[in-house]
Amino acid sequence: MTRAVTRAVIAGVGQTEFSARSGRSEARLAVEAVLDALADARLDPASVDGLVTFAHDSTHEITVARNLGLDGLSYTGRTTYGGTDYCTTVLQARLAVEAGLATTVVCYRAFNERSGMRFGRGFGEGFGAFSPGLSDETDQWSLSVPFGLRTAAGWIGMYARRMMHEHGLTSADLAEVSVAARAHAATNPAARFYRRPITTEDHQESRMIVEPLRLLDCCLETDGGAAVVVTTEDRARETGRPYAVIAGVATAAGPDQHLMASYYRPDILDFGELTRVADQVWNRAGLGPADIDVAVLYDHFTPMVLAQLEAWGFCERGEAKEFVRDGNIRVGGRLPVNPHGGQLGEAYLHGMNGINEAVRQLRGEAANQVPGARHVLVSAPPGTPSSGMILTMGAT
Amino acid sequence: MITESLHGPRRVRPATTDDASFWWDGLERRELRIQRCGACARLRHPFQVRCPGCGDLGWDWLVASGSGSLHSFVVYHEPILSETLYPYTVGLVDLAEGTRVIAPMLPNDGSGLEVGAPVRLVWYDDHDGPVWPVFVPTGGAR
Repeated sequence: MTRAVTRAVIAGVGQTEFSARSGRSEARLAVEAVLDALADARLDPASVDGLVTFAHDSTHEITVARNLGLDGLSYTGRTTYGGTDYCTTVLQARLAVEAGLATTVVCYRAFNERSGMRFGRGFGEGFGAFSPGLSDETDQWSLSVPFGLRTAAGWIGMYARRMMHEHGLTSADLAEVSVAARAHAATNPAARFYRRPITTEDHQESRMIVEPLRLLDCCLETDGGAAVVVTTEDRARETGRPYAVIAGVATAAGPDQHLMASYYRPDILDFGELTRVADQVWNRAGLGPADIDVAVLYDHFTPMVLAQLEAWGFCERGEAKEFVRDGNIRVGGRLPVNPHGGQLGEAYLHGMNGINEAVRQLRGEAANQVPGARHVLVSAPPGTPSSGMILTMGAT
Repeated sequence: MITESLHGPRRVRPATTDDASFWWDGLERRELRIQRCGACARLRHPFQVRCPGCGDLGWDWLVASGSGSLHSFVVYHEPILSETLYPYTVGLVDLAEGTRVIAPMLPNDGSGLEVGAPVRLVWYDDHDGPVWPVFVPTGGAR
């Protein structure tokens, strides 16, 4: 007798407030976010038997487990590549649940990234910030950091300059990505930039951080936490709470892949890691670009939103700068992108707040609701091994 | 002749594994080295332990001619950190030999630099740190 595979779904999402100074520890933020997600899912914290977080996260799974008062954990997992890997947390949780290793797995990410270690400060001389000791990683960073290429704005700026050269992209083209995000954030009470919209002129007058990127091309720095509960469809159904189905999820590396500085391919704008994610997700979900109602795209820097629109096939390469015009990526437009305000407007949380937004859109609970949203794309950026997924509404 | 003092972080040779040390040893000898497969002679950068073409583990290197063209570049204004002079420019250079390398550029403010334009390697030595590879526009009077 064969047993049907139990489908894993997203039963709840949670978060702390987003701030510049949380005033409490990263462990506390992690625990609060996990508990908030479990409350949202209407699941007893004692039911958790698996936890997944980022390799970069300072709060160990066992720390969360102790604070939840758990008997133990049957699955723990970490994703390696930071923000580009955020959908991989859900992939890992899903695999654990569908393999029968665990029943309820919570994915979390929490940090004091504004009041504590600011990523925007970059790597200093001790650039192995995430990798103590010598390794292939320190060797890779040795080729950029000592020469001053030591922040994400610089690593992404190198791609952006090339887009400008090859596609005729301008800084003014990038403004719309930022202005749209801030327009969404302005009407999202949870957003750091609630009631603080910007204009194209604000973007164009903002100071250069790393040319060609201006301040308003760069995401926020944030203190906070977010969490996502993955469990069996049976258990989700029992709660009576609407849940999200993972129609397709993938993680991928591309050819000649490096960390952030994947600069050694013949064509540095051929982001094989993300097209490999997209091909798999479209295939598994049986969906295509025309089916997507809302896109949550990883907006750490404005040019990478354009790169994602192109890699997922919403437009041809080099044409995203036209695609974003005329309100197309705003709520009410052709493809609403980041209705929560994204990481440019709501919070920078290594993308995890975007998963929360995707679930809220499907449930009809979002601050800036896209009416009738049924298929939500959640995408990570390229440059480092990437990830993505499509979420749809489950039957209740 | 370089007439402008190089901005950017304080120059320090980083700690690396043995896989990377030949490249950093080269800079100390004013040699921009490119790893070469010992069997099929395929060039590769960044360095790695095994040839992605033929799979051979043996390798040596050749010294780049120093001519190339500018693939992309960025000009840093922030984050403001101590021991760093701003603005400074970092380039991504297509070497004539066919590999690509990240390196500091002059002028510091990136003025006049253009993607696709020819550049050449010069060695920057102000006796205030290790000798450093720097690319400048070819034909410039710097």
